[in-house]
Amino acid sequence: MKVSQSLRALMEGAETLVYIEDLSDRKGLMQAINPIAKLTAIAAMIISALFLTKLPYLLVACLIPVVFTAASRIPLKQFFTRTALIPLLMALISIPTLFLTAGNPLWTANISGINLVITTEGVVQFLVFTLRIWFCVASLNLLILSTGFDKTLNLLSTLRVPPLIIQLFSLTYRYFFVSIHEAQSILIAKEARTYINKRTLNLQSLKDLATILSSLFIRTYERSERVYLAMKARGFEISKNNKYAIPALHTKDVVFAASIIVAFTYLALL
Amino acid sequence: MHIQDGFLPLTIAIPAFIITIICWVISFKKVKLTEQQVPMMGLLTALFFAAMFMDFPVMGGTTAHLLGGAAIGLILGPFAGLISMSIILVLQAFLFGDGGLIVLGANVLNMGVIGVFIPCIIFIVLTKLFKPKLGGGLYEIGNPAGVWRFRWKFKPVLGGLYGIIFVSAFFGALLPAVAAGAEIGLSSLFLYNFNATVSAMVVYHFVIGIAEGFVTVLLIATLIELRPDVIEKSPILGKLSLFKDKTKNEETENVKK
Repeated sequence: MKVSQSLRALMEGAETLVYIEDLSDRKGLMQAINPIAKLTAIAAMIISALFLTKLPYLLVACLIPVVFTAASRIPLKQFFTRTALIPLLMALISIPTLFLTAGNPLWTANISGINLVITTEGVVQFLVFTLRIWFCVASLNLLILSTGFDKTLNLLSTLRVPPLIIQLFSLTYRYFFVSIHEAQSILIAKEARTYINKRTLNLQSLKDLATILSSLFIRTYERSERVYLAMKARGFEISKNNKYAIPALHTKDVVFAASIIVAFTYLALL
Repeated sequence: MHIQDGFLPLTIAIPAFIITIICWVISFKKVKLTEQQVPMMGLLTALFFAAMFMDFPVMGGTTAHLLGGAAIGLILGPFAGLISMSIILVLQAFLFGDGGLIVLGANVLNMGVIGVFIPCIIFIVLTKLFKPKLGGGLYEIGNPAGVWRFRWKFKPVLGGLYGIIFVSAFFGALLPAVAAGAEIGLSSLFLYNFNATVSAMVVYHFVIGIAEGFVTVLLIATLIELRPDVIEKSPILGKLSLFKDKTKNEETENVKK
């Protein structure tokens, strides 16, 4: 397995969560909105993007997440870094459409006897697809970066998710950091034993991954037994599930969600 | 394998969400979580969530990570497995932006419902068909020389418990990818057609499926060896008579001692 890459991914995973918690505590536009109103507005933005086919309107729509990010005091550099990867990948796989779409020739070239023609329609299709994906990724990230985990639990509670499931979410999140820490110690120990990374799929890599997973599984299982005893000692009862607070919906939240829905519906219908 | 927002139109995303909600309701009703199982499920979900950050090399410098659907399904059972996998997918979408909001139903349908239930169904069918013995199977895959030898060797491959787990996990990784490819291919918003998306997903996930199969087999083999009590409590693996026999034998040996 790729030890250094896995270590980096685990570190980045933990860092991301801490960073989100930090951003969601800032006093900004999106942080002040009720989570359910925010979710409704973002969902409306993403749904309307599915119907946007004209490039100028899509460009206007793309400005909204950027403006909201700035108003929410989320650093734009980090925002663009977080949202760039998937659209770039999509741009890469949609390059053939530049050449394969029929229409008015924009650029022609003859490379080794192969006639390459980029059409205006191809460029428009390429940009619409890539920008739509960026808009959707950016909108979701706006929701993520302005909503901490506590507010996400409140959101699930508002959506009438059973308290037991919310409790599972809470436990998973809490012990995710512990799992990351354990996985990191095992991986560092492996790296310290002059572990050799291989570049192709091989049985040894898979065996190593399975060994680490088994070891983690057994440790986690044993910890879950200790956690249960600790929870029980503190009076945990399955029938007495903690009810998570549902945050109050204010006029400003309703106005925010309604204006986003109206604006984006209008944009999609244009 | 995560589908992002903007890939699927509402005509695909909404039905997928409805099917997923039905599966969630059924699973939640079927899973009777005891007090002890709540922290266990939470912690094991956290473990599989962290395990998805561990990469292994695939080909051409690319890497992949464990999907874990088969392992979760076989150890926790399909209904608890779906809940566990759904928690992972929701957290991935709401914390890391992997997957999307409108397509959450499609992602849970692919990786949660298909990715967890299909390996369990394959496992149940094959164990009823072959009545497996503990261990065996995997090492019989290599060097099949000639048709007769292949046929002779084919039965132990599927017949051994680990062979069955391998096949279940392999399809547990491949079929969600096929489903995701089909959904994207049928989408009017995506640039490529059904054949292109499905074949692209199948080629890549065929290799991942093999890796998933090996890792799942080795994980369950280690658990059988070190913590058979965990496997005995599993709604799927625990039902196999071979574990009951193993426990009885161990108990008899202990009494003799």
